[in-house]
Amino acid sequence: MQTESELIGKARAGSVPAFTALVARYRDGLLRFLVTRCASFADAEDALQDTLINAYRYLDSYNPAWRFSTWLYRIAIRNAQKMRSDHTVQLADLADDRSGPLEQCIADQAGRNLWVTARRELSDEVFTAMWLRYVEDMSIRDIAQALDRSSSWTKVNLLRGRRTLASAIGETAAAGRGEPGGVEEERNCG
Amino acid sequence: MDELERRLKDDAGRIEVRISPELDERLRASLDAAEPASRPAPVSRPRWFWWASSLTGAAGALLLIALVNFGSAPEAPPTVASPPSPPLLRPVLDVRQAVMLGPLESELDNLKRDLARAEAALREDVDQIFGEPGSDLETDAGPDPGS
Repeated sequence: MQTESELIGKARAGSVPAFTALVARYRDGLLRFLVTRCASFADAEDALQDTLINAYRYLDSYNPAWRFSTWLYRIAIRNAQKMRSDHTVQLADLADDRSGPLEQCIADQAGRNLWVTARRELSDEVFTAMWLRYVEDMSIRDIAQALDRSSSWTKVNLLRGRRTLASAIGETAAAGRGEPGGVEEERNCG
Repeated sequence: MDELERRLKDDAGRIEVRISPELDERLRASLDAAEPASRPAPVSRPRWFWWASSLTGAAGALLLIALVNFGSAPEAPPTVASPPSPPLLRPVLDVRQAVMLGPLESELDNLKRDLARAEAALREDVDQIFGEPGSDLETDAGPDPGS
């Protein structure tokens, strides 16, 4: 079993199998993320393909000081934005589309999926920050790097996203409780 | 993890997305076709290129040194600007052409007379400027013995 840094070294030397093994653990998560961000499933697949090709082509520019997944998601976010701008689709416009890829991919249709609500209520960046935080378990620092924002901005907007979602689902008590980027930490980060 | 976080994670898990075999094949094919955007590799030169470059550089340096040291004329000593001197006063000479009208003997006599007159005129001028010609001699000779 090769470590991630070993695979990165071999992929940098031009090994496609090493790069394929490197991104294998991230492909499903990337596609799931892109499904929430694109206008169609085909767009999400195209964005995933562009992301992996760009990552392979520009692997030399990857800085090992950051997690590889952070770098991958950063590329994916840009590709999703580019895909939407090509189709002039806004993220909020996708919320009411019952035939959208996110709605189609939700297995359990019994209850309202919270991410559908999030896509309707939150801005692009806050939605992405929430996803990276609560689905991909990224740190505040990595989310800030992926979004090209400051850590303070990320903390504040995670808190706002939580409050917005809590308000939308009627669970205001959930907001600001136990959140690492919550009010208590905001005071410390300056 | 609070209720909201748990719901967000659970709902994300309910978004069922799988990479289909067709998409997997497509991704592999596109990666096989992709070329890394490598930086431009340094161009390898033959060994003689570096020797020729070094020799050319050394020759250029020697030529430059030679031009700097031998090509230029020695510098002239710095000149000190002197104040303009007053113009010299030159005597005005009245030159006349002698016209030979008679025999050479009479002409020579005429020239001698002219010369004598000029000498006399010159003595008069000198006497007028520097005083009586015999006064200084009398002073130097002492008192008159007969007085």
